[in-house]
Amino acid sequence: MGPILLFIGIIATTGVFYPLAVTGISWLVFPDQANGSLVKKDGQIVGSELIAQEFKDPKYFWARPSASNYNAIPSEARHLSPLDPEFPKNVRDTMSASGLDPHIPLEMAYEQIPRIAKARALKPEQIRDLVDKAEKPYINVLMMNLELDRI
Amino acid sequence: MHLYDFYLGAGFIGLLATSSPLLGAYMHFSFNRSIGPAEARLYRISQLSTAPMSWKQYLKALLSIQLMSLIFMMAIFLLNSKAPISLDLAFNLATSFITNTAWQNIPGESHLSHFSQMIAITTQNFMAPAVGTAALLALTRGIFQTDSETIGNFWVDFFRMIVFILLPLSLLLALFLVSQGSIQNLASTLEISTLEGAKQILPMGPAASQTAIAALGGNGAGFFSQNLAHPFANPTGLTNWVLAFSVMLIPASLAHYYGIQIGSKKVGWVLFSVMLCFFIAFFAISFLGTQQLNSLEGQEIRFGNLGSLLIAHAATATANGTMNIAPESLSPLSSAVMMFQMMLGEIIFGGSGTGLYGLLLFSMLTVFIAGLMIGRDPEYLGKKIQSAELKWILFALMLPSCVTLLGSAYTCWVGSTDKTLFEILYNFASNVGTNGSALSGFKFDSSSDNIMFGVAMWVGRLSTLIPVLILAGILSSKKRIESIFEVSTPLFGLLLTFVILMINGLTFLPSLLLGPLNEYASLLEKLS
Repeated sequence: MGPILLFIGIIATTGVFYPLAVTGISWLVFPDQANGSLVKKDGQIVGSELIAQEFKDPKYFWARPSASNYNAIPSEARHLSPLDPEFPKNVRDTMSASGLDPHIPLEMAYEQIPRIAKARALKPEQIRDLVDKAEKPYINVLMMNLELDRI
Repeated sequence: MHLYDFYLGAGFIGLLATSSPLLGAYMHFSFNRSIGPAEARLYRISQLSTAPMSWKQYLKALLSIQLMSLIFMMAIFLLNSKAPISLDLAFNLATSFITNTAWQNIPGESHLSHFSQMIAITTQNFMAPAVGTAALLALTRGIFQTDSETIGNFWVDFFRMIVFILLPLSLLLALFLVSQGSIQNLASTLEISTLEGAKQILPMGPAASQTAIAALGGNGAGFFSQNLAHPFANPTGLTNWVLAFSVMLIPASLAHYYGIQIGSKKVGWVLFSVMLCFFIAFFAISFLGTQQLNSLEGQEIRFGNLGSLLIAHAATATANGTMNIAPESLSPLSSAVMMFQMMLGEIIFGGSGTGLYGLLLFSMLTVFIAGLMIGRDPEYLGKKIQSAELKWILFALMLPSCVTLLGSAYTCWVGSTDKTLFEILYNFASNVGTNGSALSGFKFDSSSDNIMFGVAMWVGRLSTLIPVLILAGILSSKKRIESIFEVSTPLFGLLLTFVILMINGLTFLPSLLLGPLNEYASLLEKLS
């Protein structure tokens, strides 16, 4: 009987109290992050800053291809061996481990600038300035596209 | 390699080397303090005696927790899941968490309810490492006590590891993860319309609390199928670095706890250094492999090359098994090193408690071999290593390797799989080593697989845990003789390193050559 009581006590502490305490404190202190870092445009939720979404329109930056086709439930990787003939040589053809990587490296962003400039009738330099402003080796696709829409 | 990568790596090692002695000292304090009034009341309410136990009583108490966990988890999985789970799958899943393997056989976000994740998995993420640590505490007592019939009280060890060590650390880490973007809520899912107007369903739930204890405790199971690659679990390069550190922290600190407990901090430092040297050497080989391949396939951009490899390595050196990449897309050289770390018996930091007791078994074997070489009676810290002890040491070190190799051979023999030898070996090593890292998204699809790997995990866990408790009992009852073998010197560290390499090299070299190194040769040919 004794061990069972301890077992129940530990379950109550670690399985109920602990996750609920973290949830409660997060809800008070970090409500945005705890609920998925959602991004709004004109008052409408258009996605999460952290989760990749599919872009097909030439006026937007496109993310890397996704093994789960940007379906988040469940997340999935391609599981491709480097010995496989289909193993991609170019970054733009690689897939991430989560299938939901929200970022692309700078070289892949630069590659897409001419297409976007043409679709938006903008100067390529204007878009390049936008990309370089982040001063990171990669860009967040959704956030950058929202900035493009604001130009 | 960029200078930035160098700072990242050096900072990681530096922080580990400075913080682990501190946590080790805190552990020593927590495990040895006298029972306070509040703690005493808890034991009284649960009707548990806090008197020291013999090894048999200790083992019985430990196994009763394992058994209760098995029944409880299987019941939860069978009764409360989003998709149907068969009995053999429930057995496999429950086993994988109880043995601290956390082999993820099903994607959590689509199959498990939040209730199951919290009540069944998060709780076991606390209990499994506490069980392993309790066994280490028992063995430590066996070494520093003399003429004693007892090896401590399991309930006290188990309770203190969870409440004084794991709970506060998890709470801090979970809140840090949330601050960086890891999700923590009780919503089920969220349907949104993307910028281009498509429908996307985002997973929701208490992810950060589970991610934190999975990293610290060594179970390593992800809230999400893609585990620490998932941006909702591991949102930034910084969280990736901190999570890698958390994976190593407790196993590293236990080495220092051990040193303080037996009265020689230097012994703790020697063990820590041996583990660290293995880790750095293996990491360097693996990093070379990724530089040769130079690809972002199966990796997340935000972690960078080094960060991607950091968790992959920390998680296979320790028995954690969490993953932030698709390991099969790495160069076979890198994944071979990761597999070898698991084959060593999870002793390079290893699991919580289990890693260090494995290394202590190797230490005893080392003094035995050294004793043979110089013609003296072998003793470890003044405790004679005689035939009964040696039998159990060898049993504990050899049985898991046998299961890995024979199991792989059997799987190849029946030929019912389209996996390569490397994949089969990796997955057996991972299950028997109670790691839980998976290559090629290796999923079991038959009930015989579920049962076979479930049994492999139990054998891997208990075939070292039970001998360790028996040894603790035998050593505890012994007298201490004057010690002539210095185990606190760099020379001993070197000797220990050679013994580990020799024993495991002889066991696994043929299979390494046939499996991963063969694939690596093909890759070099393809690249040239």
